[in-house]
Amino acid sequence: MITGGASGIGRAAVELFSAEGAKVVFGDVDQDRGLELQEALTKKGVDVRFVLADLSNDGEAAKLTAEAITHGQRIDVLYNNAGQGFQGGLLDTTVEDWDRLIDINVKTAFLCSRHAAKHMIAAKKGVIINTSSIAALTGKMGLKSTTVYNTAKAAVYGLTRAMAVELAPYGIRVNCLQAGPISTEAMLTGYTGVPNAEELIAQRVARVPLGRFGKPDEVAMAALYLASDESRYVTGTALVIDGGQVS
Amino acid sequence: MSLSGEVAIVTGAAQGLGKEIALRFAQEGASIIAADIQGDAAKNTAKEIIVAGGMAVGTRTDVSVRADVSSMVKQAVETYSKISILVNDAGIFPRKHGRNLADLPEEEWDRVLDVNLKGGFLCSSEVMRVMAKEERGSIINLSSGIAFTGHPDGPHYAASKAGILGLTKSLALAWAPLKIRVNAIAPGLADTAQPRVDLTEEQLVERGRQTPLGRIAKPSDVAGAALFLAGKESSYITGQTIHVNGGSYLW
Repeated sequence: MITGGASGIGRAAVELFSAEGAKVVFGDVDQDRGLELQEALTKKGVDVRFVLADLSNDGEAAKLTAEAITHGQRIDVLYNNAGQGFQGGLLDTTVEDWDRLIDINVKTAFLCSRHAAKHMIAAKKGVIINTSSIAALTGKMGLKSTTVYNTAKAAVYGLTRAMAVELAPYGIRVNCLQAGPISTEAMLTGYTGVPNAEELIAQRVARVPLGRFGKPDEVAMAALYLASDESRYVTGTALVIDGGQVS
Repeated sequence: MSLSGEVAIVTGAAQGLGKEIALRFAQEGASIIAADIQGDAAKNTAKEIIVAGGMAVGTRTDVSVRADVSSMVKQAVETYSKISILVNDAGIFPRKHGRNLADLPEEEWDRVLDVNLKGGFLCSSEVMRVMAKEERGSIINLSSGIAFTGHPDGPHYAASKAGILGLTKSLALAWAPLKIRVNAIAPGLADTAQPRVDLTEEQLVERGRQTPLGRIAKPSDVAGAALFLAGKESSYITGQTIHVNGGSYLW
């Protein structure tokens, strides 16, 4: 079960997890791209389901979970990937922005985990992967201040550790990913219309020791490691995928 | 995950985690240089790999001696023409219960730092010269949960393993332009011969119970993390530490 699977890193994960043999059920608010991905993969013979869902709504998180159970009989892996960035500092973040960004980045993971964990607890087995960010460790991401984003991603890290302890007795592992700059459409859109975008992007790349932005599938591969048995003694941790930026 | 076509040096490959990592990497298709100060045991690890259908050579190496390290690297290049992975696992943890740490012999402190920390630096440096030619490589350093928690009888061990984290980050930054990635693994207490020096079987089980996942680490758990860090799956990860500890120190 993958949230935010229609584009970007989530899409890379839907493709990779499918290629590795998993039955994937993914949710997203973007119906066109969700259906398009479902169709493209189905044509290749892949068993995949798209569910239109706004996962910051409890009923819709329940709907996605129910669909995953109907389709796959169980949930081995929940990848809470849905999220959104936001450019804005303390003074230019409205209360509405705050609530919306906390909902999209934190509450979605809380709700989907609650629903999926019930099935995992019964099965005494499962893996949950949350999407934090190096923004949980830094004070800014990209162009401008990103106050609520830093806050939300740090909250996801806390949620991860708490869930790891609570669910460990059931053999359920919980970890999070902390990605640095990844060349997704959502990230690059932040530079649209910015006059010196190229220069700013070059500056940002220069701060990455490996000298480039990451690719969506590089985050998906880290998720795959955390989803697999290779990481069966890893729980409550954050895996940083940032080309060395915060090291 | 596959390491087919890769060449890996694993130090400390005579036993424990190093041996497990060497065997696993070989299973995944890598050719192995199994190095250890216990040369015969290192050669036995290589023999096991060959019997299982893999490629390996064993060599006696004291990682704290540059000449030994140079000859290990030379042997690797002569045998397999390149080195794509280095696992710095060689380490020691001498401990004597009941002593006053103020009486810890200076020679013991020096030896632990020489093997655990300087050894990692020497091996990385010599191997880097080879990796630099291909502008590609992955170095994996074995740190320890003790780097984060300390150990009442092992200040030298804790210091060396915390030092490994500084070394990891520094080498990651220095060698990123060469596309050489450097990461660390911090395992919790692992089911090897080493902790049995001062813990009974019952104590090992009890220590496992104190961990959220309810058991101590198996060597294969650590090998899984090493495999991830060695392969292309972690191509955007450098300067990082993977904690393989079952959720320890979360409560």
